[in-house]
Amino acid sequence: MARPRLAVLKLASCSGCQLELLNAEATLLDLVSAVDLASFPMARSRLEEGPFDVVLVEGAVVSHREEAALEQARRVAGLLVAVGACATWGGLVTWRRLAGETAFAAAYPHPELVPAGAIRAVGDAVPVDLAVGGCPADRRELLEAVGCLLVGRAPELRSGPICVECRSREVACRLVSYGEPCLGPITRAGCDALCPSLGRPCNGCRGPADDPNGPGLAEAFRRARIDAEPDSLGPWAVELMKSQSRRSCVGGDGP
Amino acid sequence: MKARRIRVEPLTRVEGEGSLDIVATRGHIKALRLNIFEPPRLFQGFLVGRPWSAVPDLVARICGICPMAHVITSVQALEDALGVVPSPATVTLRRLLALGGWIQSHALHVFLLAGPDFLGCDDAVEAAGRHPDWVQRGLALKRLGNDVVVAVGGREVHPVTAVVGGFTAAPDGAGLEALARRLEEAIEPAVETVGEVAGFRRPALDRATTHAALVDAGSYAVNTGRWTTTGGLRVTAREYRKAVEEVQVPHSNALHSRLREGGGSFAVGPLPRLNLNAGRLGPEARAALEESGLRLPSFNPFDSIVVRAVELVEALAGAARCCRELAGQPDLARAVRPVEAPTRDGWGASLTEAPRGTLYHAYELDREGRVATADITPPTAQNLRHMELDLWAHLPPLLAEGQERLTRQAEMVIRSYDPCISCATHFLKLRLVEAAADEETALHA
Ligand code: SF4
Repeated sequence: MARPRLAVLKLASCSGCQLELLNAEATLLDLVSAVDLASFPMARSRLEEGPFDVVLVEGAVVSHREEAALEQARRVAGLLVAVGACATWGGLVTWRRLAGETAFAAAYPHPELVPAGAIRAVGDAVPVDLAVGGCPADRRELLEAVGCLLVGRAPELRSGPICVECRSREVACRLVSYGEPCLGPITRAGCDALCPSLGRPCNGCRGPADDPNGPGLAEAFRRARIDAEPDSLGPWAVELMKSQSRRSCVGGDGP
Repeated sequence: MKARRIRVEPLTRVEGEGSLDIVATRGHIKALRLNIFEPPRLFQGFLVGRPWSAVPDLVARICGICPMAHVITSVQALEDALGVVPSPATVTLRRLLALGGWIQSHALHVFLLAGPDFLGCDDAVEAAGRHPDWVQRGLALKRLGNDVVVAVGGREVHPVTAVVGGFTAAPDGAGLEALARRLEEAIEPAVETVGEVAGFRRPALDRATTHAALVDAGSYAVNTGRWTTTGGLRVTAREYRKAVEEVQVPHSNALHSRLREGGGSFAVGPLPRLNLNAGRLGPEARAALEESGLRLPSFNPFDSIVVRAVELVEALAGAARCCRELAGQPDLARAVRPVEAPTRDGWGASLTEAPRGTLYHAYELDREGRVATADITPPTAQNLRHMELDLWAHLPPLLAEGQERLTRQAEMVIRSYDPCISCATHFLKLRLVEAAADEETALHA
């Protein structure tokens, strides 16, 4: 039986998510024997043409160039997976919208050359079969998701908040015990409460949990007199604090 | 007159995408341009207005391969601006984190990215079939570097514990001892690797040029020291921007770094680092260097693979020493607990040696402690001009040998710099768009 063909497409990103695949050293050779890495520019010299069984997309759309590449990928992809915060909801580049054009005018001699309007998440440009969030996407989750897709099963990604993991790991609550502006209550679990377990509040890199209530959390911060201007809480907080309903962070359109 | 146009596209096995355009006429290169296709992410834009505390998490995302370097450099620059002095234990833990980054990055480069070229394989996937031991050793060393980063920073990509003033958590003594043992055990296979790569047939490419790296008293420079060139320049982080300017050169759409005095290009990275710091290697790496027969100073970028292997030994031994030192610290978590930082205005700068060479960060903060200006120059941005000049020097005799060999040789030159294109181009983005219109004319001129 021919190995399933996998491609990796990078849009505007830091390459951290695809590096997660190469950081799975222990399983990398198994992966290579199970899957044909037909187009993976970071690791391979020869890049094959589609069709591909699975295309992993990292990064956000910031111009027509990525949009065209993405549309092409969609045409040749059996299943298309948005990987990481940038791909699943825009991630870092959305700061462009939040920072305001004045800041941009100050920082760039020709801001008009970098149009702001094009900034989009992968799922806002083409239909997505699965979205695996995180900055970076967690490789266990990523490999599990790819594995499931290849055997035709829908992966079960966690949907509840980080708080659940703090409880099960018996990590002291950053919010209640330390009075810190922790975004764990509205952030999707799956990292085993990494930051809270290492002495800092969650900064929301994994995107919203199911049914998040950002404004409610902001109110809780206010009541607890926690100084929490969203833009001081990390790269994702501003978007995250606005989220108040289910977003397609997990599951996407579903295979 | 017949001009031949050669296009190498896209350059694979570098992070990010680039292409190289060459216009050649009768064995002479008329125009050569290294193109960068990196979608703009506009870091400089969204850093402005952010509170200083948000900066390290943001700049980590400039590059997924060396986030620890961006975090450490930004933290040090902010401490300089805020007048914060970290504890000695914090300084050592930062060195350990940085060396973990060197180990994973160098292992990735030596074994999986550049190594396959010299083994006559297309890439690491092919090498895994033909030289499984080589690839396995590379993966094991890469894992070890990653384990160092995880032990200190919490995870490999975008570590979380390093903040202004210190660390939010620290590894425990037993974990550090165990890590030290693994690092010490890995020195021997790494030394063997130096011998092996020294035996690789490396093309000659020597041209008079300038190399630059941090040089520090006593040890192989990582996060501290003065930026020193083979031309005799010596500056502090605060003086760097006075010594180096960024310019747009006519044939390229990228920003190039050059020395203000004399206007010359320069290279940063492992080879310059070793040229300037060979006398500060630890005993293990010094012995490996002597064994390798590599003669210093070397200005041949193809020697870089040997140098990376030597630095791998240095990083393993240096990281082991850091672990032993920190394991002896009675309450490490307390010793590295973040020093309280004031909210105030200021300007600060930092230079560190990222795996690929000198990384520069400088921030100006306003009275509320928000970023007023950010200036970040990664190693690859400094090397771009140098890379082009190397290609210009190396390729003419190969022009007649056919597209395939030429492509391969060009790729090898570029790869020897291990260009982190996704990182370098964050600061080239505007030019990228601007130059698109005159791309053809520039090349056919
Ligand atoms: S989600 Fe984070 S790790 Fe992934 S590409 Fe974007 S910035 Fe990099």
